[in-house]
Order: sequence, then structure tokens, then C-alpha cells
Amino acid sequence: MNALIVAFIIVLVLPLVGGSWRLAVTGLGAQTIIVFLMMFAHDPLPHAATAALLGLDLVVFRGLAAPLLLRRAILRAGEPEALEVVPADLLQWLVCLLLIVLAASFGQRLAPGDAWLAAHLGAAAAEVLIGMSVVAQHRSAIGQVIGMLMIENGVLLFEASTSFHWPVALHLGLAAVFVGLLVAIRFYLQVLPAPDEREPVSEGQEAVQ
Amino acid sequence: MITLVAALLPLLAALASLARPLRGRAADLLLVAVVLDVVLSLGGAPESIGTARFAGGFLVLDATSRLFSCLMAIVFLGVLLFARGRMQESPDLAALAPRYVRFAGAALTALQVASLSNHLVVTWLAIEASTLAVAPLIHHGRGPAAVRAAWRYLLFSTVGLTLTFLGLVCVAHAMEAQGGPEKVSFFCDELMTRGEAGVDTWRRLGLLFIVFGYGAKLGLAPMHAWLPEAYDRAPPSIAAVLSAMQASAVFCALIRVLQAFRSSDQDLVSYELVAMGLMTMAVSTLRIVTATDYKRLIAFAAMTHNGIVAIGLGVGKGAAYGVVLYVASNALVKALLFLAAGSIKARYRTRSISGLAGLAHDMPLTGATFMLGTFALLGFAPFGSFLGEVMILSGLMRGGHYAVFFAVCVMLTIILVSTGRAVFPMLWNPAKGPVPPATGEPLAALLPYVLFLGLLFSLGIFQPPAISALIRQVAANLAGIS
Repeated sequence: MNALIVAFIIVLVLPLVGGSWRLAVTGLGAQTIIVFLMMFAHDPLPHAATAALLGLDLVVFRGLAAPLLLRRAILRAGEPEALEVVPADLLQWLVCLLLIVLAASFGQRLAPGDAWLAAHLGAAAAEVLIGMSVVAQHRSAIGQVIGMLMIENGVLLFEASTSFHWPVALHLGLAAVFVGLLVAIRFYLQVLPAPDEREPVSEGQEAVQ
Repeated sequence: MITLVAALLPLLAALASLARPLRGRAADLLLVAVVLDVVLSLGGAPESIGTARFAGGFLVLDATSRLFSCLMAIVFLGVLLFARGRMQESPDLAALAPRYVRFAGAALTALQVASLSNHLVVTWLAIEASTLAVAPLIHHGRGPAAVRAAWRYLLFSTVGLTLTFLGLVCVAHAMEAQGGPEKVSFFCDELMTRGEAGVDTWRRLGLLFIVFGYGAKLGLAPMHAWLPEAYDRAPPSIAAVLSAMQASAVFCALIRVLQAFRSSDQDLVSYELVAMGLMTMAVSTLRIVTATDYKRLIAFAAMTHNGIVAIGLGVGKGAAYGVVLYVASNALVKALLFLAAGSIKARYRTRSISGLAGLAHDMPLTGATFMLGTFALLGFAPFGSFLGEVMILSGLMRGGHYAVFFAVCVMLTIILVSTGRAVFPMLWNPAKGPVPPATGEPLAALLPYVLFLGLLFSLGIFQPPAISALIRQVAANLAGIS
């Protein structure tokens, strides 16, 4: 479990400094696969059906399909390779560092006697907070999607700190909603105009329904 | 079980419309399904207000679910009548009808399931599903600005709902810490009877996230940026779905959360709701003062309403009846105004307030509806919104929240003056230039006006005993009396 937490922190930090959307997207997939492994570090182990669903949701949908789908959509949109998840300016980096310190102290406060649990919760909080900051900072849809998925992964990491698993029916629903979200993201990455593109249709010509 | 069948009917109609022979009649098919939905939902409402679990306990038929599922079915009936009327007038819109029906039918089912849910995670799932179904309708038959608005809506909604889910995970953490994984349950009725006691950091953190996330879905500040753009850019019928139906589903979810955790964490949630409500009202008041676009004006008014309801929910017991009445009335007001704004836009091809005058003479029925809707929007008697607003304000006074009362009154006064200054010249001033030739107001577009206005008057003047009992029961549940 401890090695997995360290691995998660590494794949959380690398895309922030990597400056490439490929690294960011791959990192997001790797994070969910690590979370999947963490889910088996608790007692009691999940039932076979739950384990299969976890594998389908975390490994197949979130770990593999989501990065692949994002990669294709980004390539089709002709985006440049470089994408700074946290823009390279002093203020943004200070904000990011502040969020990490805040998240670490949050983890320590919630689990004062357990350094590894504190690190686990701190990493999850950092992922959520940085994800929110990324969503707020980026005007491009790709940056916003990366931020949105970071928040999702942060929540998954929080979930991995408990030994509780959702009932099978609910887990199926959660996985279905995530697939629906992926389809919607793929669609919008294809049709969204560039942030600075102006509206070519006059307001009077809009359909009224 | 009949209620579940009723809720599933719109989805079934949407699926049936995928069949090639039925595509041309997609709107009619959905209309039949929605009429049946209304009949079946209302059929269950006036009976005894008991509680019945079904679908494995995940869904429940109680006063809250009855009220909100009926409300949604009725509002959607009006919305669909309007949209169908527009489809009959425009071949372009008729060609897009099957797509509209697919997503709108799925959205209605998801929203009704959210209101019937007895499980906090099922509610969350249904609201997220409704978000995915509504987003493509925001840019239905529209340009890049609407696509951008739909994206922002999806982005903010997803982030907000993810935070709500984070809250649910935190609450699960708290329950697990108390008694192991077996203690984790999100069934609302179980949570209400369990009555968690004492201060638990995880549970309180979870509640903060749940309320904040649902607040984002309602467009409460500071997560409000998507709302004016989405309501403004969406077709009028979809703006009505968003502002009246989806907002009601989220309020229903918040009512369930407050019912479940009232005994342990009322103080914390109250502060959060009142703070978000006041911030939202402040933002919307400023934007209403400077509004130049009548659809945006309605969008900001919708934001104000959500702020008032958040404050009312924060006040709790003292304002419970007012909150429930206000939510029901304002769902009708917002739907009415967005549909009327759609008719005005279809005729004049402008959204500008200054570009419009003489509506009362040129479009007498729509103009009169817009005027009455504006009166209801501003909280005038004899509409249900008046009664609801007065009761929320009196709840603030009785609860000793004098500063909040004062701030709300000041903002409502500014909104009253600003909205009146914007809307009444549109209605009564003489037309400034040549007016497009009148084509008559189609009956299909007028039917929803009659339906919504009739219900609004009824909520304010005479509530049928069954509806009155239903509202009282929901308020009692919210206040923790029963």
C-alpha cells in the first residue's frame, strides 16, 4: 500500500511539470490503475463481482479507454503537443504549492497518528484541489477536461482510503455514467469552437424551440 | 410501482422514437407518454400521503417524491406542448424533432427518478444522467456560442457533482469509522431514523461538499458562471427544463440530505446555505440592474430564486412551508417566462430589451402572459411565489436572522425596481420602428401559458385540499415535525 501511495504521488506530480498533454493523459490513466491496486490492499477483499466491476471501471474505462479516447480527440482537434497543466508562471506555481501544503496539512489533521494514511488523504486532497485550479485556469477544453479528470481521480483516491465498496448495481450505474461522460467529452472536444472564435450566426437566426 | 412506470414512460417513448417508422411522429409519441405520466403521477398524489418503498428500497413514494414528480411531469407537459407547436411551425425544427425527443425523454425520466429516489447515490446518479441528457439540448439547432454554453454547463455540473460525490465518500468514511463497512448506508429513511449524533469531522466535511456540489448544480455563487450563459443560449423549452425541472430535482435532493442529517449537522449546513444564497443574490442583483437582454434578465432572476430557496433551506423549520411553496411556484414562473420569451424572440428576432416595445398591443396574449409572469417573478400577490417569499422572510425574522432579512429585502427591492424598469417599457411603450407582420399566436404555444398561469393562481389563492396537504407534508418532513 505504501509503495502504491508513493507511485500515485509520482504520477500526480510528473504531468504537472512535464509540459505535454500526452504525459498528462497517460498519468491520469496510470493513477486510476494504481487506485485499482489500492482497493485490494484492505480487509476484507472485495467480492469477485465487485472486483470484476472495479477492474472494468478503473482499469478498462478510466485507465485505458479514457486516455485513448482523449488522445484521439486531441489529435483530431490538431492541438499542439505542448500543454502546461499548471501554467509556467511564478504566481500559478505558488498557488499550486500552497494547495499541496494545504492538502498535506489536511491529511495530517484527519489522520494524525498514521503517516501513510495522512499521505494518502493528502495526495487525494492535493489532486482534487489542483484539479479545480486547473479547471479554473485553462480556457482550452483539453486543459479543462484534464482538470475535471484529476478531480475524479482525487475522489477515487479518497474512496480507496476506505474498505467500503458500492453495491454491484450502484457500481454499474457509476461506471455507466462515467462512460456517458466520456462520450460527451469526446463529442465536445470535436465540436467546440476555439476559445476566441466569434459567433458567425446572428442571434435572430437561432432556432426557437 | 405505477409511479416508476409513469417515470419510465418518457424514456420508453424516446427509445421507441429510434425506430425508423416512428421517427416522424417522435414528438407526438413523447406527448402521449408525458400525458400518461401526468395522469399516473397525479392519480397517486391525492391519495393518503403514506410512504411506500419500492425497487428494492432504492425508490420511495412519499409526499416529497409525489410533489416533485408531479411538478416535473406537469412542467414538462407545458414545455413539450410549446416545443411541439414550434416544430409544427418550422420544418427545420421538425427535422430535429427525433433528436430532441430522445434527449428530452431521457432527461425527464432521469429527473423523475431523482425525485423518487430513497438513496443518496441513486439521486446523484439520476441527476448526473439528466445533466448528460440535457447538455446536447442546450445547443440543439444552434451555433457555436450555444455549444460553448453547453460545454460550460457540462463542465460546471460535472465538477459540482463530483464534489457532491466526494461528500458522499466522506460520509461513507464517517459511517465506516463508527461501525465498519456494514454500517455504511445511503438509504434516506434509514439515515433519518439513525440520527447520527455528536460532531464527526468526516461527516461534516462530507455534508459541506454535498451541499456545495449541489449548489454548483443550482448555479449558486461562487459556482454560478455557467447559469446565465446556458439559460440564455439554450432554446426556450430547454431553458425551462433547466430552470424549472432540473433545479427542482436538485432542491428535492437537498431536501433529502437535510432531512437525513438535520439532527446532527443543521448548524453547519445552515451557515453554508445562507452564505451561498446571499452571495448568489448579490451577484444576480448586480447583473439584473445592468441587464440589456430579456432572456438573461430571466436567467438572473432564476439565480435570485435559487438564492432565496437556499436561504430558506438554511433557515430550516421556520421557513419550511414557504420554501416548498416557493420552489413549486417558481418552477412554474420560470417555465412560463422562458416560454413567453421564446415566443417574443421568435417574432422579433432580438433579445435586446431596448429593441422591444409595444408587446401588449402586438402580441396581446404573450404580452399579458409575460406581464403576469413578471408579477409572479417579482413576488406579487396573488401568486404562490408571493406567499412563499413572505413565509421565507417571516421565517428569517422569527429565527432572529435580522441582518439576512435586511439584506434580502434590500436586494429584492433593487430587483423589483430594475426588472420593472426593464420589462414594462417592453410591454407598454409605443413600438419604435416597423414591426414584423403579425402571424397570430399559435394555440399550441398558448396552452402552456394557460396551464402554468392557472396553477400559479391556484397555488396563491386556492390550493386543492390534496395539493395543500401534500405541500404541508413535505414542509413538515423538511422541518422534522413528522
